[in-house]
Amino acid sequence: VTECDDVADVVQASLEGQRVRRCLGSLTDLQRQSIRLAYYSGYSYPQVAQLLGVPLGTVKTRIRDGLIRMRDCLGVNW
Amino acid sequence: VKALRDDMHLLTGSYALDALSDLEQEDFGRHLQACPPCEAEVRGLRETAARLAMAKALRPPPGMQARVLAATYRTRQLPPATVRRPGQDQWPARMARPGRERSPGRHLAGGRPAGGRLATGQPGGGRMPRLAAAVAAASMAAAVALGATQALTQHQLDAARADNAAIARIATAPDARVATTRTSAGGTVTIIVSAGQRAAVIATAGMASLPHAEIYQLWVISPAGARSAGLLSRAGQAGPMLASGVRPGDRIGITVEPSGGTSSPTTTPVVAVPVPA
Repeated sequence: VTECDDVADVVQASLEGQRVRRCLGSLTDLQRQSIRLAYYSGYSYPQVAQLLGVPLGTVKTRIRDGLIRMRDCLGVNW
Repeated sequence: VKALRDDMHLLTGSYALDALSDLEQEDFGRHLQACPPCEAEVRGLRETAARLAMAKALRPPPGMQARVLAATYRTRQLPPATVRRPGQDQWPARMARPGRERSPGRHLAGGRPAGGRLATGQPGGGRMPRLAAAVAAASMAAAVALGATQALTQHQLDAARADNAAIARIATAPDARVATTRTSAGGTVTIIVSAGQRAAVIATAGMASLPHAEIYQLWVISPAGARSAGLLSRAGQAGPMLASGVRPGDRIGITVEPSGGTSSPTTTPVVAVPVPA
């Protein structure tokens, strides 16, 4: 394995990361915050609801809608 | 009843992020078994969640990658069922668990019990399917996966067609190679690789079902690191999967991970198949 391959992998990973960040940017604030708190910070959705001061049902739908938007933006095959 | 079902369905996203309480997680896991559309949606959202990790964990913490890889390469490889090539991997027959460090996030940081499930080094077995049989099996798996899901969207159909075209392209490539290997989670994994197309088709069969909080994750493992190639279902039957950017010398590995998937492998692979040259 050459150093070149390593660089290619890092570049690939970094492009993918940029793509994810771009897609996150296309979400509504509430969708993005809900996903951030649930995924990156590891809160449960009732905790997310409490933190954001919104009803439980709202968080449920925002997480789902946001993820669906991410899925479509990233072109995830399913 | 309908209202309740609709309400349940809204939990797909939170379930995919592992953001339900344990009780709800179990309830919803049961609901999934009776709701193919929910199951299909969860699969897509989990795959999406696995990609979310890319934004945060572009670079693993210093030293982690090396430790994970060291553990990966120490892992005993189950003998491939295909013709063995001279000079192909001789791994020490010793198991090791990779580092536990993960990116932030409860489901990422949460420890897993030291697994007794992982490889015990079964005798190599399985048989080498002829290429045609492997392709047929892959297509069959795709058809079954499609048939099992009643509510297909146009997007799913398009995606399935694109996948099938890619599968056919790889399987019919002049340089396509097939290998079937047993996994330590039972069953077998078959990979069809085209070095020219730098792509592989992976199909599993008969792997043990996992508890609801866990999932099988597919990796392309190179000396530079392990890259997620997607999530299989808890039962390991996600139909044929595609992995791109595959080079000879890489390994196709499957690990058991928390249900949302992770950005780097955190357990010893149940199987790690060297990509044939």
